[in-house]
Amino acid sequence: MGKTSVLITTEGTYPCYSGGVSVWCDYLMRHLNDVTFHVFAITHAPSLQMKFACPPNVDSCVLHPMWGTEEPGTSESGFAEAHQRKLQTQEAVVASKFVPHFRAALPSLLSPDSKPDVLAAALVGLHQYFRNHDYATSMRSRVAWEAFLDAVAASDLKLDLHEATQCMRWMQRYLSLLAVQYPSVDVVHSSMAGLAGIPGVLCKMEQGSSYVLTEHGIHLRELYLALSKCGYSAQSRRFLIRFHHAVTRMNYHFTDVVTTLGEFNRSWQVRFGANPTKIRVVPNGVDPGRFYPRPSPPRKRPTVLTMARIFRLKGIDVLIRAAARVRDQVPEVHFRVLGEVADGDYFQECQKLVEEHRLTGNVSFSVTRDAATAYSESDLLCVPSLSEGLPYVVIEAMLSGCPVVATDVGDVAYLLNDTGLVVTPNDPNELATALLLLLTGPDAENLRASLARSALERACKYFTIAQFSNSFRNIYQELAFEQTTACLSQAAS
Amino acid sequence: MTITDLIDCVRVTFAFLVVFGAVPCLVARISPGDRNLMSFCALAVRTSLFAAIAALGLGSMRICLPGSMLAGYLFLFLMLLWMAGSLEPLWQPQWRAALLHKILVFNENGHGTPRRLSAASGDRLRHWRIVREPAFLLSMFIAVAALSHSLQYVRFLNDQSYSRALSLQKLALGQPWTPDGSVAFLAPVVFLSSLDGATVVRFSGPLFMAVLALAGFAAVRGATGSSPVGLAAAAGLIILTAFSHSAELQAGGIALIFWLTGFSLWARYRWDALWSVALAMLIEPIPELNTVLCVSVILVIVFLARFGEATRRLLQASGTPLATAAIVCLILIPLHRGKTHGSQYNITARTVARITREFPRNTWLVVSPVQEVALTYGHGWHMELSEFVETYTVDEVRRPDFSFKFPVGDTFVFVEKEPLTSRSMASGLSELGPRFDPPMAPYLLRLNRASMQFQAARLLAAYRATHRGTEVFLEDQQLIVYRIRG
Amino acid sequence: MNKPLPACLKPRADDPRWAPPLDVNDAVVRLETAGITDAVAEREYGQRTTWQLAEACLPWSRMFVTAVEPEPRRSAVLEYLSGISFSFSLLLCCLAMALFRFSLWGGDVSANMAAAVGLGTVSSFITTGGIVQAMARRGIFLISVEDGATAEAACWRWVRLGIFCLAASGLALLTLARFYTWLPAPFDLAAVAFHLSLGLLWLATGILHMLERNMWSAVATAVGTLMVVWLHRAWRIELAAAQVVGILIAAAVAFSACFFFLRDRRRKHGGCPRPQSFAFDTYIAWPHFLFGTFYYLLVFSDRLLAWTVPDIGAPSAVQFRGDYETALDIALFGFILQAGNVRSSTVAFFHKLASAQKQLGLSRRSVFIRQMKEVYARRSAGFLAVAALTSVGLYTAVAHTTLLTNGQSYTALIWALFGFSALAVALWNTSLLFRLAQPSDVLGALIPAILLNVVLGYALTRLGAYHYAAVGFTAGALLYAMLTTRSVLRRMQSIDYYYFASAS
Repeated sequence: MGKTSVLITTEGTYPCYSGGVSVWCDYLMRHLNDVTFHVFAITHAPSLQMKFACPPNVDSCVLHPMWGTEEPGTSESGFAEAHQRKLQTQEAVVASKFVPHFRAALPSLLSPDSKPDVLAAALVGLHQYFRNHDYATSMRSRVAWEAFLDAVAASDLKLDLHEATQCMRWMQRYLSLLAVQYPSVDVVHSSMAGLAGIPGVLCKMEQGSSYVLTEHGIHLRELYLALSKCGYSAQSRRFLIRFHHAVTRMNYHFTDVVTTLGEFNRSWQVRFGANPTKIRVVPNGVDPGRFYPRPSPPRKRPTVLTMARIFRLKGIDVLIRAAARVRDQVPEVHFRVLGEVADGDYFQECQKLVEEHRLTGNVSFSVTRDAATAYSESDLLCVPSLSEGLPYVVIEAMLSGCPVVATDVGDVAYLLNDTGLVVTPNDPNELATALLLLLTGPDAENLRASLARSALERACKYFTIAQFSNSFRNIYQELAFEQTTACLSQAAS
Repeated sequence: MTITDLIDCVRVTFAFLVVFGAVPCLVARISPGDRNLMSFCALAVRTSLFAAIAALGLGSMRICLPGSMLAGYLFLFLMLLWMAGSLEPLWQPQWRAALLHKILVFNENGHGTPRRLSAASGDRLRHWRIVREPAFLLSMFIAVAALSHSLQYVRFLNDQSYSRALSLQKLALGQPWTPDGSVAFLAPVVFLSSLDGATVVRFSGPLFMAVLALAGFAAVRGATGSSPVGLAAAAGLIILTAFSHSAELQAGGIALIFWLTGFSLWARYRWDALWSVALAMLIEPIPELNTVLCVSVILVIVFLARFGEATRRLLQASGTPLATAAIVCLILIPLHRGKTHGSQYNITARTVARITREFPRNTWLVVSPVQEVALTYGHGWHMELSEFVETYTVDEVRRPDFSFKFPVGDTFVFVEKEPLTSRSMASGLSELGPRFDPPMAPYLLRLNRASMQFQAARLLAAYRATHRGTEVFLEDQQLIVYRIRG
Repeated sequence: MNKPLPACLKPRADDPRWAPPLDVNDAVVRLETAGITDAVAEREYGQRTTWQLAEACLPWSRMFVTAVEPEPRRSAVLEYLSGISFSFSLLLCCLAMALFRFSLWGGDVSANMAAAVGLGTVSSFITTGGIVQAMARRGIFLISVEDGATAEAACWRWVRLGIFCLAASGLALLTLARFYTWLPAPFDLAAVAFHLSLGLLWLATGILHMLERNMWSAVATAVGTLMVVWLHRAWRIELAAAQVVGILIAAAVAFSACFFFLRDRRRKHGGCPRPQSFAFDTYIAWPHFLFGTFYYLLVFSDRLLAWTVPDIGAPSAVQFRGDYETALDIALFGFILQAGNVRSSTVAFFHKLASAQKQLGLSRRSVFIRQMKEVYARRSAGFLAVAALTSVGLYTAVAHTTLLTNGQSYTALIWALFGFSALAVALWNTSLLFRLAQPSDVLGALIPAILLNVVLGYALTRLGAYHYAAVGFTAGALLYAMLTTRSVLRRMQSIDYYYFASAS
């Protein structure tokens, strides 16, 4: 039996973006070096630089830009071959071979009660159609447009023409995954239950691959949060929720194993349609050879570290408001925010807040390539996020001996389990109180040391890379074995 | 001979081959039909007829210009493509999409294309057969022999050539002209070569001689089935033509080509044979004696070859000697004729050609006898020497305050030190015909020409004595050219 | 529920994009993110779990109606000025001509030099017109998706291609001019010099136009003109040579501006250039390339026909016709005034389209289509009205001056005023068709128009006089306008579909 081959699918993470999911992917591939990986990454633009170098056991890494291309689903390089497909995609062919599958998929995508089997069958039909026909030509055809309008009219979505145009254009982008030909693999491992899971369903139905789904943050939760401030109309938001809900439900239905980081995520997964018997908790793991307690250099100022990409869900604005209160008590305190700017507008808001609260000398923003040293140079780690799964930064801080103050989101409370301070999310006052307790409270230094010790112990026991990689190795082997067994029994019968 | 002569020769030859060779080939590729030498001849006749009729029609409206001729040919090709059904795909979007696809593939794989192209052209070159037919070799030698004279001499030996050159130049410039079928179908050659009518006539004559040899060969070979007899007939034809026209094939000779082609085509391509005869009559409505004589000779040779075994063998044996004789005649006869100078000194013609090249257009005036009109028309201005000597007097030009008031920068006055004589001049009216130009009349009699030259010499001598702006532009044994700066 | 609603389920004054929750899940997510755990829900709101709290609050939260802020839009005047901003350089040239009696190109020169400049100018437009259009097509898309790095790389690639085309066509122009003696030496070299230098300038100003920095084109023109003035007046350098140098300086200034603006975009957007595919560029941009080339053929064919009318007394085959050129330049001025309307009308049309779509449901598509047809008809009528006013005004103004000195020029002016008015309407239709991604319709109209222009113009100029070339131009422009109008009306029948398919 040869090496197990796994297709890892990501969206907005590895290898072009930094963040917890990207770190997770990198750890997974580097430490399972007896597995051959293929990476399929959905990106938001075609011109991104890779932030992670693929390890040697990665055979291929395909970047699929969902936005920013002239023709969705068409590769701009090697275009002559794509154009050949365009020549074969005549109006009559679109009407006879594309539209029936498209019409079959639309009700599931537009209604609140989607049927995963029906949807998957329709998507498989479309995927096979796109082997020899052009995606953009088909999706932009008049018959496709009319089919979409008919489906919308038959549903309870009350889209006006503008919304219908916008929604169909979105669908064009999202379904461009159906125009990709995926490699033949043993296992598809999706890092989210959204669009990145579609290849898993297709490979499972067409090739018989096994399908593993790992959710870090709950995709639909984060979508709801994003849509609450996007400025789209109610009907457009409703369309997006139904579309993604249908895809998520389909992913949950077809997956063989759902891994989650903790109980919080698990409850949401069950609510959104996952089978509880398929769910396994596999917490993140960090390499203790890289993150360990180091002698801390002498510091002139108490330093509070936040390691996070700058976007709204990370609650940096809450941190700044809390910092103002802390600065009133500890004027020399230094809040160090290390992370790339993922949302330029939000970053400007944060900078404005810093100026308003006169925190220019107390709050700094930068990036680092040496997170391990950053923990040792700080007095504590603050995680003010509004939404998290099982954040890596908390585990890294725990292994580095840096005490943690974090908001009670996701499975953070489970992760810390009294080895750090947990506060209410979006509450600067409570956050400030917890920070002050560890910075200036009675016996603050001993409290910090005690928390750090217990956190280190807990992390070494439950959250190391070895445990993490072994868990997934077992899952892959189990699925591969089941596959082999199924093949043998099929051959026997 | 100068480099410019050689370049002009190449240009005319190239244009000639394109108009009478490449265009019929292109038509052959477009139109369905046979692919053999006779079918090519038929197409060549059709395209020549098209060129002649188009030029005549456009010329009558005074718009026989490069654009109109190009439009005419484009229209012809489009019609042929439409008749062959090749235009239908253009209206199909799939065809356009397929063409775009080829371009895209080329764009992506273009780096491999030059090697493939060179390989393909190499294959094509290897497949070309070198034509070793004696007739083609003979025609090439005839062309070279005839061109050797044209390269040396700018002036024409036949007065008809001057008339034809002037007619062609007027046609090509969209000016009023008298329809002349013998030059009409040369208009495309003028446009393509971008040379004047005189140069085209000068170099096309020898080329037509070569074609005449081929036509004669084809006619006799087709009728007798014998290549050596055909070769003999062709050579004999060239010898006769050399004596009548030297190396400058005139209308009669050109018409003869199409008479003979018609004869060749009659067996298999009746309609094209008729077109060929029609074209011959367009070129020369009333066949001249020489044409009749040549046709008769051909017919006699055919008769002798077909109905006499001994004469047939004799004709077969005489092919090579006659061919040699033809080439020798083409070289020697013009040389001999040239010694009597014809109507123009070669140095006169060369000087006029030099002026047209070196001086900006329409900024100079040439004062000379009428022959130079054919060389100056469209390049600059010309004044008849007769008019010059009649307008001005010695006393008048001698005055220091006198000026000629020509609205040009330079005036060139050609004065023959040895006024020309020629057989045609001696006979006086022998050149009367459809191309007779009245301005020729004063120069036909030797006495008149000599007195005019003498008078012109006196005028210029008197003018030079009192005006410093006059210089001798060129002087040799026969000619002196004065340059008067405006 | 007796308690006040949680703040996260109510609109906030400082957050205009707040929207009511879609369903219970949405409400729960917001509550959790705001820190309302089960314990908080029970303690403060009297509900056992966050889910129950969400279910209780949802109906109240949905009652809030958020005001839809209209999309910001530039005023029609600004759009109009933006539409004619490409002509600021031309206006500077006119000013220079009035002050110094010469400008960046053109002035009091000999007939042969005027012919050389004219020929070089026309050939530069025709050679670079297609490249600029193709470059703009790709560049505008790449900038709209914030891919500044690829936009920069693509622009310079097109510029290199443009320079290659200029060099090749310049060589061809020189060869043909020498072979066919269109112009006596060294005027053919002068024509090639203007061809190359002006071509470079058009490439640079094309990029600036794409980046909506037309003022910098005007700056470059001003710098170049000043250089010409200095070289010709102070150093006594011959006008044509000074103009070539001035144009090259202007091109250098414009390219420098392009370099900095493109670099800024790249830095602002970040990322690295995506792999370039010439095949893909060809596929996307070939209609625009052909449009650019054919458009200038249509606009300049009449000049070429007028200049090449056979004249046995002329010093060269190509003769610049000053009076004809003056008449057409006057009409061109009127065209510029109308062309500004193209951009503002197009923006207004699509703004109206979007707002109409927002007001009409799927069942009222026919109403939407009818409304858009009415908008189109009104705008087209506006074009005709502006054309009439502009033409009458210009003609009246010119009649009171001594700009035109003979009846032929007035004839040419009248025809050209008609022609350019038709061209403005055609451009308006072209703008709509390109926005609806129907470039084949544009080409299908442009090619017959060029053929009609050339055939009719050729026949009339060769049978009549050179100023009848304007008749050919007018006929071509009219045909172009009619065919594009027909195409627009055809596409209007399914404007909703074409609007959808035009972008993604």
